[in-house]
This record gives sequence, C-alpha cells and structure tokens, in this order.
Amino acid sequence: MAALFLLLLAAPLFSCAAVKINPLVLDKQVLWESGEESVSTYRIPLLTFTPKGNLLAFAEARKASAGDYGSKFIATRRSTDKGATWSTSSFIRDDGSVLDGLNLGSVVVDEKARTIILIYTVCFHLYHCSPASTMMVESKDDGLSWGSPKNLSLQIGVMNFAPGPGTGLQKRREPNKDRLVVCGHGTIEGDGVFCILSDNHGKNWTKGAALRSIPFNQPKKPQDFNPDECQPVEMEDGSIVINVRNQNNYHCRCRIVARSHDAGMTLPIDDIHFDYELVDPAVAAAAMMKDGVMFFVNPSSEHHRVNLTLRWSLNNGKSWERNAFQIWHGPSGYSCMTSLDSNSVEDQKYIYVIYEKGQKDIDETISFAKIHLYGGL
Amino acid sequence: MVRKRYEILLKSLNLLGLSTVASSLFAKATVVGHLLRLQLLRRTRRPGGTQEEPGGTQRNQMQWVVWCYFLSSLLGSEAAPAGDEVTFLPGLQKQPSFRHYSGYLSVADGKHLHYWLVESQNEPTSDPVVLWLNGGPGCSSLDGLLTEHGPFLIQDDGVTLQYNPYSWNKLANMLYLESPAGVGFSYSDDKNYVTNDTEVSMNNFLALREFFRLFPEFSNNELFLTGESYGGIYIPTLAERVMEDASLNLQGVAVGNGMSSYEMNDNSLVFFAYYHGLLGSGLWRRLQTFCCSDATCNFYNNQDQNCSASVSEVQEVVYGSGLNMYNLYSSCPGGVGHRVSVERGDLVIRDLGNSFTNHQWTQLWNQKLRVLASGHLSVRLDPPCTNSTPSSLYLNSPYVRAALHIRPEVPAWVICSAEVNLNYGRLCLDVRKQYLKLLSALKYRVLVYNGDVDMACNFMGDEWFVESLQQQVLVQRRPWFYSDEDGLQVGGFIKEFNNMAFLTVKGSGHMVPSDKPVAAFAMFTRFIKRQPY
Repeated sequence: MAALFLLLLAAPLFSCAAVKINPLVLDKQVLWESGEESVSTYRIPLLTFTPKGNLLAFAEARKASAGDYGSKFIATRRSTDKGATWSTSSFIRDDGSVLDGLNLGSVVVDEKARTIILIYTVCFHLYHCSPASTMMVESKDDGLSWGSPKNLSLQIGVMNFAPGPGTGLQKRREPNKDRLVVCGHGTIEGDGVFCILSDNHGKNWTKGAALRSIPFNQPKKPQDFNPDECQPVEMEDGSIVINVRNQNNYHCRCRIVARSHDAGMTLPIDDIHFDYELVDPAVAAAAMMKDGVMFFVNPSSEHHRVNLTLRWSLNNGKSWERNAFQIWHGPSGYSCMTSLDSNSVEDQKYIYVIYEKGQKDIDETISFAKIHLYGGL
Repeated sequence: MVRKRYEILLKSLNLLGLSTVASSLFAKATVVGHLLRLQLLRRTRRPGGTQEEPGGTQRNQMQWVVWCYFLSSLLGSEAAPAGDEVTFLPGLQKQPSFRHYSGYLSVADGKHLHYWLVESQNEPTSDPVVLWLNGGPGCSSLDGLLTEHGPFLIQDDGVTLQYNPYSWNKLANMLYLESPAGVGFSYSDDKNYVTNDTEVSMNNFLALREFFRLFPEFSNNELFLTGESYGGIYIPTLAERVMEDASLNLQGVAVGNGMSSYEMNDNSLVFFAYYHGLLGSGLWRRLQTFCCSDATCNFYNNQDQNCSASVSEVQEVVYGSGLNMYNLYSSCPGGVGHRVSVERGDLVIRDLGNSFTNHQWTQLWNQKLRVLASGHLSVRLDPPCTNSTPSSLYLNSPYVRAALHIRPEVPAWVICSAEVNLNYGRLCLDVRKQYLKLLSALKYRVLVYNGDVDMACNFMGDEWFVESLQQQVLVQRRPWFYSDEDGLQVGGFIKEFNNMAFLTVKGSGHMVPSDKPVAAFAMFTRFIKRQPY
C-alpha cells in the first residue's frame, strides 16, 4: 500500500523526467538597477526559496562605487507569488561609511528550524581595517525581518572567508542529515575553497573542508591552481559536489568540480576534476539539483562575461545535454539559482535564476528570470 | 548679448569644420576672461589702505578698469558683482578662504531682496548653488546662516563669529535670501509689506533670475532649493516656477521641518503631544470622544464645540505652557515667556500663527493681535524660545552693516517681521500639487527631512504628507547612519520613494543643523552628492 502510494506520488515526477527539458523564459524582471536610490552599483545577487515556499533575493548595494571594497547595504526583495511580483526593496544591513565594508554572501535555508541564514563577510580585503570577520544574520519569519548580526569568528576563528556567493545547503540525506553547509573562498593569496558547518541549526559553526590553492599563501601566477568562488550542491547519494571558479585558469578555462563524501568535512584531491564542457571566464556561477537533474548557469565564454547559459545534466554532471539554453546573450556576470520543491506539479516545472545583466556592462542590473523547464515544447 | 554673438561665431566656425580654431579661440577667451576677473578681484580685494596710494596708481587703476570693462564687455561679462563682495567681515578672527557676497536682488515693483552668498569651500566653480530660505512667514534666512549651517556662527556675545566645521558651504555655494521684502534687510521702495504665497513665490523666482544675471558664472551649476519651516510652502511653490525655466539648472529640493499641509500638521500634533507625554488621559479621552469617529480624527477644522475646546487645551499645553515648541527636550532660552507681552513699550508677539488656523479662537486671537499691533508704535515678532539677540546685535552693528553693503536708511535687522507675518496671505494650504508636479517630471530629487522632537512642524505631519503623495516605494523604512567621534550612529529613519525621501533626524528639533550638525551635514552631503542615505 505504502509502495503504491509512493509510486503515485512519484508519478508526476517520472512523467516530467520523461519529458525532455526544453526551457522557456516565462518571466523576466529587473529587481535592482544600478543608480537607483542613489546606490552606485548593485552586484552579487543571491536567490533562495524560503521555508514557506516563497522566493527571496539579495544583492549588495554598493553605495559609492562599483568596486568590491567600500560601504554597502544588503538589499533584499521577496516574492510570495513565485516571482510574479516582488516586495519593495529593504536594506537589511548598512555598514555605514567604512572603506572595506560587507560582502555577500551565502544564503542557506534550514528547513527543519524553518529559518533563513545569511552568511557574509566584513573587512574581507583588510583595507584600512582588521581583522576580517564572518557574519551571520538570521530570519525566523520567512525573510520578513532579520535579527542582529553575529560574528562567527569566535566559533570558526579569524579567517578571511568570503562565503559563496550563492546558496549554502542543508543536508537532506545521510551522512549528517540536517547539517548546514556553507562554502566560500579565502583571500587571493590564501585562496581555496573552505566550508563551514553547523549541526545545530546555525547556533554553532565549525570549520569544515578546505581545498587549498597551490602555492598556498604565496602570490599566484597565471595558470596556478586557485579554486575560488563556489557553489555546493547535494547529490542524490548524499555527497556534496562543489562547482568552483577556476580563478587562474589552471589546466583549462573551465570549472573545477570538487566532491565531498563526508558532508563537507573534506574535499579530497582524488575527487577533483575539471569539467571541460563548462567553459568559464572565471566567475561565480550557479548550480543546483532538481528532481534528479543537475542544472548549471554561467556566462558561457572562455574570456568574456557574456552569454548567460543554462545547462542541464541527466547523469549528475558527468556530461551535459547538448541543447543548452541561452538566458541572455549580452553582458552577464554572477548568477544564483533556486527552485521550489513542494512536489507539486506546478513547482516541478520552474527554476528561478537571478543574475547580473546589462547591455554594455554586467553590473547595470540584477535581473530575475523564471524559467519553465518544459515551456519550449 | 556680446557673449551670444561670440557663441554664434564659434558655432559658425564649427560648422565650417574649423572646430580646432573655434575651440582654441574659446579657450583663449576663457583664459583671458579668467585673468581679467582675477585682476579685478585682486584690485577690489586690496585692504582699505588703497585710498592712500599715490595718484598715479589711481590713474593707472582707472585706465585698467576702463580697459577691463572694454575687454570684458567684448567677451561677455562672466564676473560676479565686485561691489557686492564682502571684503572684511567683523567678528572673525581670520577672514575666510572662500569668497562671499552680500547685496540686493531687485525684483518687481521696487522690491529689493537682500542676499548673502557664501561660495563653496570646495570647488565654487563646479559645486552646486543651494538656495536657503527660512520660514515664518516673515523670518530671515540669515538666521539659517548665523545659527544653523552657515560657515560662521554667531556667538552669545553678539560680536564674535566662529567657523562652523559642519557648514553646508563645505560642498555648495550657499545662497541665503531674505524674503519677502520687509524681512531682515530686504525692503520695498513703497514700504508696502502686505503679501501672499503667490507673490512671494514669484518674487523669489525673479530674485533667483536676478542672482544668475549678476553671477552668470554659476548659471550652469546644479541648483537646489532648500528651506525650513514655512519654507515648506516657499520652496515647492518656488520650485514650481523654477522647473518651468530651462535656464535654471534645477536638480532638486529639500525641506526641513516644513509646513506641507496645515491640516496634517494640526492633526498629527495632537497625537505627537499625547504620545510624548504632554496630554493627560482625561484630555485624550475627550479629544477621542469629540474629535474622532471611525478611527479618524479631525483636530483641524472640527465644528464640534467640545472638540474645539479640547484642542484649545492641547494648544495651550504645546504653545502656552512654556515648552520649547521648536525642541520638546530643550530648555526655553530666556525662560518661560508669554505668547504676547509688552517690553520697553514694544509689543512682543511670540507666535507665528501657523497652527490651528481654522479654530475660531485662533482667528479671534489673531484679530486681537492685529488690534494690539495697530495700537503700538513698535511691534516685534520673536519666535518663541528663540534668542535672537546675538544675531540682532551683530547684524545691527554699523560695521557689519557696512561690510554687508546695507545702506543706512534700511531699517534695523530683526529676526522676523511682524508686519510681514501679520499681513501675510496664506493662499497655499498644502503643497501637494507642487510636489506631484516636481515628481512627475521624473528628474528632480526631493528630500523631506524632520527633526523628530519639533512641535512647530512635527515629523508625523510631514510623514503623513509624504505618504499621501502615494509614490512608489523604492526602499522600505530603515534607520540611516552617520559617524561621529563615538563611531557609527543612528541618524534617524528614512523611507525612500521614487525620486523622494522622507528622513527623520533623531533627537533634533526644528532647526536640524543647529541641533544635530554632524547628522545634518551627513544628510545634506548625501542629498547634494546623490549618495545613498
């Protein structure tokens, strides 16, 4: 009886998987435009589902210049109708007028505690400030309001840790089910992929896996091994695949892929490979698993941040389907992706992408696209 | 005219493909113009000793001036009125490093409005021009200069000026205008000081035009219109005219603790007073019973006699009990005073007549004031709990008057003109239309800011007013921050709309730059430089 029930539940899933993916952008919107509200530049978009099945977007609102340093707000907008309309922007953090302010960031949803946690860094570049700190803010009401920030340096130690940019994850499968895993990168010299972990819903964090650059803590040269901004994804076997920016184009102008079989504790060298199909100009990209299909978004180009492309893989990223889908031909930069996993037929159809988009430069807007996976049929 | 001809010549050279010739000619002309101006300014800047120079020098100077006049008329005049430059200002330990000018802008019907321009301490040639108007109606903008955000502030002795580290002229050319005629050093040939909102906005507009005629070098600079209190009426009504004039490079308006709507100002004040602990629960109950129904209260023009009586009690507490209406948490300079008194034969009124104007007893009170005023030779209008003695002492010093080019026959300076105020025609009861016009142009930035412990134009009334314009919200209400010696501080709260922001300054009274100079300077900087708040 139970098996039959499961089969019935799974039926629409199979029917979808059987249908060939053929994406169509159903809705496009500009969520932030640089220059609005006197904000110089909006960058580093993040997008997540929420415990209540809504969508929540974030971006850095860089006050005075487009540069990574400087003072910023964290801007957020929320959609309760699957991306059709968005709430007015809220600035949930304001770092004042510091020279090296906050940087986003990784957003992770704890579906057990029904909280949203945003991890960001301040003083990451150590420009006229010290030390760098890893900060956390939490929302217990689905992203409507945010508590005061907590400095995680007390728990994980002082480190230059730039989370994401993108989403963290909560393990849905063993090992270490319910663990929160947030990955990011270090300084340019001490770069690499680093993860921090929490097994008590964000109360305490510990240092997890580290995939260090070579040479570590030494100035890099072109083509050095320099894993940087990254996006972790939990696979169906419970392992975590991390799709990583290949900062110095080591081995290829393509993505580095690392894998952890112990819920983010280690990232063994044996499990690293280079995905030649995922050509990349060295940028923060988006990756996600949905209903057994792996999705990947980046500006697909060896040298330029243009041609934002959605790819999908039916074999956990071993290979990518031929018919990639272009979301935007022009300048496009950082991106982030999410979907609503309610098991409803409706939610199985869509993925949501947020990305830096422009006509001339990537940082003109932060744009949102609702993509119907089977709309192009 | 000559300049225009010169431009036509340049244009034709450009058309003929001789753009390099044209541009070099233009560059040369500009350089010559600048040199001439420098020479002229150096001449006029010599200290008083020049009178004792030998006649030969004077003759040379005459020839030089004639030559300059000839050349500059050939190139088109770009110079500020040299005669208006303030070359030595008493009370300062050291003369300023920036230039400043004081003189008159003559407008229609023989009205002469006094201005004081303090050039920017940064880059006067490229920094914006910011007009500042204090309120009243009938009060002088020199109060803004000498006690709020001017480069030098008057000290208690009425003699000394101290430099202000948070002066708004650190980033803008600040133009202080005494308006309308009859206020401060401004006067009318016919001594008729009966005026109204329409006439005032027109004359302010004409004054602004006249300013740019006298200072053509600023005509391409960005222009902002700012003001306070009754400036809440002056500024939007002026902006309505300025935005129609393409020769004026209007960028935005800012109003501090402004009168935006008499109705909202009155209605909000009662809530403000109750929730700041000024009204007892008995009075509050009566107000609720007699003035409110269906969760809506009308304290503004309620016909209910019981409501009217309750509101008059509120007014007595707020304005009559001795509280400092401009800053609830400040003491009252000079001690608790009366709304009207006779001092040394002068009738002194301490009421600008902006609140509860629709109530019968307010109208009776105003009638009584007019009768009293007509029976006195001298009537003074002093804003309550305001010590204007230092400013009056200073500005009435013959040396200061001479330095500011105020002719002896111009009457003594007082902070507010009773004649202007008592005879003022309040035609504009809210400025909704003007703001909507400005906003619909989609290119002006608007800042409505309020010190949040002021009771003359309380923050809530202006917040309601801004909300009532129903503009698209861009960023939800949030705290805004500035840095002082103790680190990052909450400056107040801000809500941002499309091209408009409503901002509070926490703990500040009516005169925000006086009460919270650091926060006010941060706010002004962000407004002018289009930085996020």
